[in-house]
Amino acid sequence: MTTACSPKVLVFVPTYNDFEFLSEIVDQVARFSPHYKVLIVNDGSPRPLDPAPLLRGRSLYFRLPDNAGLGVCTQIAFDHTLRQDYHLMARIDADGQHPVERLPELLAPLLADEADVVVGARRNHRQSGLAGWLSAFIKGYYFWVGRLLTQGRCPSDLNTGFFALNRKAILLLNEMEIERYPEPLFFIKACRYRLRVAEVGVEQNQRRFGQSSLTVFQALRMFYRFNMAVLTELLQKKPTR
Amino acid sequence: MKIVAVITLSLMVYFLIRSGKLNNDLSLPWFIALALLALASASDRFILLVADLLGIVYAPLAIVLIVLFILFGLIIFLTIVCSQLRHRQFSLMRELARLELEKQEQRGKHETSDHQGERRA
Repeated sequence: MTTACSPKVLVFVPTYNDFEFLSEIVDQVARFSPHYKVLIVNDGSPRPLDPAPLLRGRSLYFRLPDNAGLGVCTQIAFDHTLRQDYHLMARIDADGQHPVERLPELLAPLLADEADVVVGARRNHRQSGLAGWLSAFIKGYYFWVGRLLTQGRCPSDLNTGFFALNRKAILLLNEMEIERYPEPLFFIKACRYRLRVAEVGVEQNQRRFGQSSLTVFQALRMFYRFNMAVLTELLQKKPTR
Repeated sequence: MKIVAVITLSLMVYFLIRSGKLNNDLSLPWFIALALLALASASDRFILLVADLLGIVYAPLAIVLIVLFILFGLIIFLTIVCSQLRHRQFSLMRELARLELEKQEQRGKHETSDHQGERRA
């Protein structure tokens, strides 16, 4: 099978002002296979970045003219995966918190055709302060709603940005209106549409540069969006595929 | 006096269209709103009728309600237009990304075939 022998994998790295680890991610991914390509989507960061060093080897770079959010960045990655006939797509955050060395483990169930979506569930995801408390509350709420909507089949970490998908999952999720922070809805929708969702436990690295984009205000917006999207999902016809 | 105010506002909207600051299509809700205001200000019977229909005891409050209704309609209309524009903006961004990334993919393929050719040579 072509996929098993030389799968074309697109590793999507969205970034907003996080540039310190991009070269490291590109180098690490290039070591796995010559068929893996990194797609860096710069979400209109105000910080200047010279993409020339990143474009050497097997990586692609696109800067959005304005900050449009993770939803548009993800749709660009989905479009490119489908148009350029990549077999799989993985997502890694640019802040260096995701263990890139675990990428082969994330992709293994997809390559073995045992799953359509693989979630890198973080085991040590903690934040401090009010934002941390709010984040923990929202995470717990998402998990509770997710379990309710999927009859307990949703993964334990619905907020992780470390995940991988095959073309079947991308085709389904690309039909959605994808907004900022789309991960919980991806996984809930995948479970509701009976896609095979697998989970790989990962240890998240400590953030060494910059700070989380998730402020209290952003968390509240995220909470509102999630509830609206869940309501829309519930009002849609029950999935039959 | 009330009619003069409505005519002044209508002229303002018209001059905004003429100077190109207000889009012709988007000006229609403003004229509809002004027409409603003109109707409300020109005829007391209209206000009394609205107050009677809505069960408002103090009839002048019906004017406040009409104005709120107009403002609500305008805001909803403008929010829909903003959402459509946002959607179109995102579609354009995706199209731009598609073109740019396809170019980079093609360049990558050419470079790979050039390297292979050099190796063979």
